[in-house]
Amino acid sequence: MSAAFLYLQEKGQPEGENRAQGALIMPNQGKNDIVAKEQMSDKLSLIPQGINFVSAFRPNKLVENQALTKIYNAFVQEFYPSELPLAEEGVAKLKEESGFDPEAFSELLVFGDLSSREYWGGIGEGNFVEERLITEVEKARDEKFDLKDYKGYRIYADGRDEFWICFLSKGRLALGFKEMVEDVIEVEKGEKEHAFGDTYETFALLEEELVKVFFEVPEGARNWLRGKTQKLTEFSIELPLDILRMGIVLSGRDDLLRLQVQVYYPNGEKAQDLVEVVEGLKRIAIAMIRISEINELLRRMDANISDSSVMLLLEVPTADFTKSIKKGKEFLTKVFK
Amino acid sequence: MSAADFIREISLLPGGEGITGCIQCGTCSASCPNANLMEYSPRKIIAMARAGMKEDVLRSNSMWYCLTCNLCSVRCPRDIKPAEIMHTLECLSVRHSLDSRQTRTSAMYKAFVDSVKSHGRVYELGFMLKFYLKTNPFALFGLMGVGIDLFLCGRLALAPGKAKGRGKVKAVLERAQALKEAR
Repeated sequence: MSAAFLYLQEKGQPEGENRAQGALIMPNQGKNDIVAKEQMSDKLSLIPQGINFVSAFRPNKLVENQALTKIYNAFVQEFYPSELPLAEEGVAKLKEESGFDPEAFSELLVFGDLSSREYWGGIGEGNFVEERLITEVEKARDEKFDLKDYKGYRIYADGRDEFWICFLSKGRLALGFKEMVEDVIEVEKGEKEHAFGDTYETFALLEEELVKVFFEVPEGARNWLRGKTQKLTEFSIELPLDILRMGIVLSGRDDLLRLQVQVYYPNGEKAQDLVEVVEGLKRIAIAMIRISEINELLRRMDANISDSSVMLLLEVPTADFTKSIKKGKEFLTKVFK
Repeated sequence: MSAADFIREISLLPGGEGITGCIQCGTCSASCPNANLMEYSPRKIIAMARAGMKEDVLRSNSMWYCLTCNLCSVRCPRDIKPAEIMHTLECLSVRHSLDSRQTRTSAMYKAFVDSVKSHGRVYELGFMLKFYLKTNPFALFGLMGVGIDLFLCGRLALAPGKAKGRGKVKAVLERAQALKEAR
C-alpha cells in the first residue's frame, strides 16, 4: 500500500473516489525523495485557493534528459524533418523568445483555474540572479518592466499591468497574471489561506519527477468529450467518461521513459469499464497493426485498477520507442498512401 | 519636428496620403465600434497628427484598437480612408519605438510576420507560442481548452507544413525590409 494511500486513510477519507487518489504514488522512496518532497511542500503552501490545475516541471532536468531528447528528435526526424526544430534548437528558441533560461530553473510549479483564462501563475526556483533574469526577459520582450510595490514586495509589471514577476526570496520567484501573483504574495504573508482539498493534497503526494500534472476535469469538458467520442459509441465502444480527476507523471532516466496516467472515477464500476475498454482496444490494435515493435510497445502498456481509479502505465526503453516511431511512420504511410 | 514634417512623414507612407483632406466632420468616430476603447477617437487622432503632436499620437492606443472594419472608410465624405491612416500610424509608432505599452498588437504583428517569413504562411501553433512566450507565457495555460478544440477540428497543425513558394515570400519580405532600412 502506498504512502499516499495510508495518508488519506489516516485523514479519515471516505471509501471511494478520495481513497483512490493515493494510488499514483510509487513505492521505494529514498531519502532524497523525502527531502525533495519537503521542499516541494514548502512551495506548494504558497498556492492560493481556487485552483483546480496544478503541475510541476523540472526544466533543467527536462532539458538534459537524454531519453526525452532522443524520442523527440526521432519523432521530428521521421514525421516533420525540416519543419520542426530539433530538441537543442527548440530549447535555444525558447530561451531567445521568452528570456527565461530553462537550465537556470530547477523547479517550476504552474497552477490555475481551468475555467478562467486569467487566473494562472507559477512559482519558480533555481539559481537565477534577479537583475540578470529581468534584463534577459526585457530584452526578449523588447520592453522595459514597470517597477511597483505590492505589500512590500518589488514587482516587475508589463505595460498592460497584466504580467507580473516578483522575487519572493533568493532563488525563488512568483510569476504570471497579476491577480495570481497578488494572491501568492498574500498567502506568503499569511493574509490568505493556501489551497487545500483533493487536488492540492493528491498533487502534493505525487512523486517528484520530470513532469507531474494533476487536475479536476470540469463538467463542460466531460460533455465535450462525450460529443467528440460519439463515433466510437456507434461501434458499440462506450467509453467511461465520468472522469473526476486526472494525474499524469512523466519520469525518465537516460535509457528508459515512464509515463503514468491516473484516472479517477466516482465509483469502481466505471474504473473497471475503462480497464476493459483499454484492454479491448489494445488487443484490436495488436491484431490489426502486426508490426512487432509497435505491438511490443502496446503490450507494455498496463491498466491497473485500484478502487475507483485506474492507473495506465507505459514503461519503455528509449531504443524501443525510437524504433517504434520509425515503424509507426511506415505503417501510417501504408495505410494512408 | 514641426507639424508639417509629421504630416509629410504620414502622407509619404502608403495609406497615409489622405490625412490632409480631413474636414473633421467626425463621421469616422461616430461609426467606429471601438472608439470607446481608444484614448483618442479617429477624428481626434487625425486632428492631433495634423497639429504635430507626434509623441502623443504615436504613444496612444487608438490605432491599435482599429479592427479595419472599414465603416469609417466607406462613410467618409472626403474618401480619405481613416482605417488606412490608423495602420500608417501603427507603422510609424513601431518605427519610432513609441508603440503603446497598453497594447500587445504590435508584438502580435511581429510574431505573425516572423511566422510568414519562416514558413511562407502563418503557422498558427508556432505563431501563438512565440507571441505568448514574449508577452505572457501563462496565458497559454488559459487557452489550453481552445487549443485542444482547434487541434481536434484540424485547425491547429502540429507542424507548419511546406507551403509552395515560401522562399519567394521570404524574399519579398526581406526586400521590403531592405527598402525600409534604405529609406
